[in-house]
Amino acid sequence: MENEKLNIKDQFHTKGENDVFHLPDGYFDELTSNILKETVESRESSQNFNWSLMVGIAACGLFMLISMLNQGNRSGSVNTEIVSADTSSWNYTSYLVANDVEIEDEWISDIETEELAIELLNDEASAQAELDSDDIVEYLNQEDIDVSDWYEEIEDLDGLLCFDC
Amino acid sequence: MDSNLEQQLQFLIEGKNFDGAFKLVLSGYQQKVYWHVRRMLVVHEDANDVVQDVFIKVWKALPNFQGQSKVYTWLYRIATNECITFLQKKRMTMVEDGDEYLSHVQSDHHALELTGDEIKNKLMKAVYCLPEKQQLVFNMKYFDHMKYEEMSDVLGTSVGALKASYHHAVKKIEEILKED
Repeated sequence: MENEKLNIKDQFHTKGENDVFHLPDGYFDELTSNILKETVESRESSQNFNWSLMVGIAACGLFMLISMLNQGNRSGSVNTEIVSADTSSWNYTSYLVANDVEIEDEWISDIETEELAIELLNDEASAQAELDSDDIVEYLNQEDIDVSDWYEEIEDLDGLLCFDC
Repeated sequence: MDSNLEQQLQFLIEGKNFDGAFKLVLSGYQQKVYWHVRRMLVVHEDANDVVQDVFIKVWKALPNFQGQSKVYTWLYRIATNECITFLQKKRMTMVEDGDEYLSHVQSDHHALELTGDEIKNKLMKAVYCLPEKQQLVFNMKYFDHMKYEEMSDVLGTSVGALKASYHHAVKKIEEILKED
């Protein structure tokens, strides 16, 4: 292998082989100063970058903290007894509470159906009681209602008003 | 390769004096690295950009240098990889423009900027007729006087393959010169 190299060396003078390329005067001094300058700039920029990274992380953390606190305030009014962790037991009320929807007291008050029926019938009975016999006769004549039908109606009403039955 | 310089570098790196080590690398190897890069890229401006990138990389990576290889071969590996990456990028842009970078550079005598005597210029032109890998091997062996073991460390190729590659390169150059 050395002989092969010598074959070329026999034909060419290899000393100072790099001078086949043109090179600007004082290039290597300039190269050294450029590289050292770049390392200084790179170091400074990396330090600045670290500071900006730190500020960015701090700002991000602060934003997340504020978001969490806001969320905590909003969800603080939720009754944990209603909003169960077990979603299988959720009902519509739980859904509304979980979604922060205001619920009217009347909607969630448990009104008994029987009480409502009594209230309605009482209103009707009091209206009926205010009628005198002349009014009833006049009403029946106007509406052409048979007396037997009217009696049946009265009996039905009595049946409804009989709460002990 | 200067073994005394390598010892000093190892000492500075082990002592974590990275600024001192970098300045020593720069003063000791910048010319060798420049010429290695210049022979691969031909154009001075390209070589200048790549050499600066190489040393900035070295400066950043020096604290992580494991010392498993010599600084010299580590430096050459970085420089060679940077050159290959640069040529690949150039080729991509030149292919997009419908041309090939190296053939463009090699065919242009002004781009070669050869200032040596006729016989040296002929040699350089013959070298650029070789395939890229053979050029690299020939340059490292013939101009940089590197050992095959060092070249193997830099290029990640076996010593046997490098010897064969250099042998083919020399034969081809001789043929080209005889034709002239």
